[in-house]
Amino acid sequence: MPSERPDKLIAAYLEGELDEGQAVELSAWVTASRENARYLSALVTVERGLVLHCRKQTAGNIIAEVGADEAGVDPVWDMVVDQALSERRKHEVEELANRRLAESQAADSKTNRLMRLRIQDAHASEARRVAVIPKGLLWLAAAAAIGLAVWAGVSMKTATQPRQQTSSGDPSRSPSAVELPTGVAMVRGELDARWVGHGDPNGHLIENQRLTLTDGFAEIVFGSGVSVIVEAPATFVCVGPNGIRLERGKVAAVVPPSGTGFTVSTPAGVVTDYGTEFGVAVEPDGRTTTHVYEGVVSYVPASESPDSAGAHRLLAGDAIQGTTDGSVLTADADPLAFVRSEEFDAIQHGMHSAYSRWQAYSYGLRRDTSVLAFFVPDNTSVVSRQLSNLAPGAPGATLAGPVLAPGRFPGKSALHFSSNQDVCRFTERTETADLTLAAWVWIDDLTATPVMLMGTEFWETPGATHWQIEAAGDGRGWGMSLGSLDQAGGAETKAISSVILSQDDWDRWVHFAVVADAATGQARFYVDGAVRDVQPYRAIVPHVLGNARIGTLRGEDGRSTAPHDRHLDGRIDEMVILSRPMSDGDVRAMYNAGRPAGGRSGDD
Amino acid sequence: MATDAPNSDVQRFTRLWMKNQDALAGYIYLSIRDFHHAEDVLQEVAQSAAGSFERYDADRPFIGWLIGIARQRIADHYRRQGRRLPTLSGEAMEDLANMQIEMAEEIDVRMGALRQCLSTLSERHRHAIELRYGRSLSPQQIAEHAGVKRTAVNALIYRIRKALADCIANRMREEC
Repeated sequence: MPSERPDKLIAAYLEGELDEGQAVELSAWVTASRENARYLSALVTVERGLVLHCRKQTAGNIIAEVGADEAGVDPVWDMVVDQALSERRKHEVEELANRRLAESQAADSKTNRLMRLRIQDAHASEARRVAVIPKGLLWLAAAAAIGLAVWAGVSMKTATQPRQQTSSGDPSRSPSAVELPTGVAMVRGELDARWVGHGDPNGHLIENQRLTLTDGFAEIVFGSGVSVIVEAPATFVCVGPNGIRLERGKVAAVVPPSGTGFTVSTPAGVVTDYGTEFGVAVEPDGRTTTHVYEGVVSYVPASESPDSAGAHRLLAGDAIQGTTDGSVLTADADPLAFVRSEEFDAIQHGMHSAYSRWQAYSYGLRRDTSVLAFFVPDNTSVVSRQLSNLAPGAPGATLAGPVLAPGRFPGKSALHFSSNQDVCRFTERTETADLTLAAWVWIDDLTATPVMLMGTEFWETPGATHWQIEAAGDGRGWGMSLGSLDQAGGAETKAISSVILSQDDWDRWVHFAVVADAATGQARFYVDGAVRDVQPYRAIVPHVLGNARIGTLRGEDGRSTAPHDRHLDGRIDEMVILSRPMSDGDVRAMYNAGRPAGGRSGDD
Repeated sequence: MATDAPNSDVQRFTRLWMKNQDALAGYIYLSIRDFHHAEDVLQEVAQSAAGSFERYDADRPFIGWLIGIARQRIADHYRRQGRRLPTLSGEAMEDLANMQIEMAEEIDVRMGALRQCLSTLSERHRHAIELRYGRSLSPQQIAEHAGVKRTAVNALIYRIRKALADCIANRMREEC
């Protein structure tokens, strides 16, 4: 037996509240005997197990999961619970718990977040499919996460044991009696998927079963906890609980620590992961391209002998292409080369959430090669006064002044402009005759016009472009304008719409867009996805935004060619600039995908 | 067609990692009492170890090498948090690490036993566990809203942990 236990010290240690003096005292106790060390280790293991167990369950399910056997009552906890669960206090505790959980989730590592999302979704799919495997899979995931990385050898035993034990009491007491997994992986989600070779209604995938996904996407969760998004057309084989053989198609994998060593075998080589996120694409001729987004991956060409040291190590941001003859080329990873888990989730949930619907759309927009700039301000895109540009390879914007304010979706942000000192500056030097500018704008007030939505800083260089809200209809209302400087110090080409805005458009999110279409010689003006006016517009020289600003014209240097201040009093949630003329349908689709819940529905 | 990974360093690393991952995770959790941060550090160690595997001396225990990397990453973690490392002595940590290595062999049995033992808790105790671990409420937060002293909540949670540890030990003895 351990020597007399310093219970208070151990409790303080487990709660992370040990001070230095206590640490010395507890250290002495731990080293005094092997049994003491074992006792503390056992308690820590219990705690890890509890954390894993609880976090892998939806809130409140722990009681249903383990049955309802009662054993003893603790007087202290009686008092705690009696007070805590009085109606008023119960509400407070629940509210605090939910807030704490949300904070915890926000602070989590991406892997942990994804893992928990999957577990939660597994419960949702349980409800849809009646009897699938979530509970069993939950326990497997918990076991895997705690380190049962040798799941390959003992998976069925590990999975079966707890279920049999739980069910041996009274299965009916468990509200969600479920089947055990019978394969090495399962299909957790699908998007317009059509299969050849896969017919299990519960989504189980059998080891070495050859499958072809002819259309759509599928998310597969392996016993090791690895999640893989498969994109059609794809042919593959699940070779075990921690590996896949990909003959053709694309897969994007998220590998938690328990899945370290996950392999993707292809005709050209073998990709092995060490806890990360990566994608593998296999062309019909076997060419294999691997993109690494996080962590470390190795790639070994199939032509290398097993004993050779021919492994290529790839870090985040690296890509490599290998062919079946063993040649290898390196490149930079393309973040949009695959539909990854976040995008898959966004698409899958898009029908239920306005935010997700917009996210799904935005992933597609980012792949549009004509996108010159795509600014979406929020807590993750604004870092150290830099606003990232979602257009691949494009530089971000510099912020000086505008603060983040609530955006058009709960949890999303926007840039708030309130003076001419609020600067959002970026540089885009592409020359383009066609142009589409679009933004979600909230107008607080419109006391003076014009108001700059986006414009080249100084009206000096041919091609300089201004997109503004300004007085229209002889001052009877407001419209939009698009102008481009024809030559230095000279004339400009400008189109001003008729009155298309009213005060009804203040204090709400409005989608503005303008399209310069060189082929038709027109500028089309849109409000909330609908064409509101078309004006002649034939720019003499291509548009070149150059050094440009969003939401204001004057900068901190005080220099301006404009006669007065043109800053926006309001917020901009999103700004998109394309070098092609969007069609009416494109703009309507952009609006419909991005409109906030409860917003105007436009023409849909 | 290449269906099997070559028997290279990559495979060797993977095998060793698989075998030692749980002991390493236990060691990290001994030092970092926040589960999610501990998981992040585990992942960092995996990446470091994979990236420098050629420096591993195969004549020495792999877990020792991993723990060496983990120590650095744990120290980095506390530096990032701007805190001193409030840990037990080196000797105590070494004893506990050795114990984690021993116990890693039986981790699946322990987890199975834990699941069984949870069923022996009262509903109120399970609710306490849910608030503390499922919803990540601190003892202070639970105490504030329950109108009791934090020490009372601490004592309760500790008693539950002890009861579960004893229950697990008993079940493991029964199975032997």
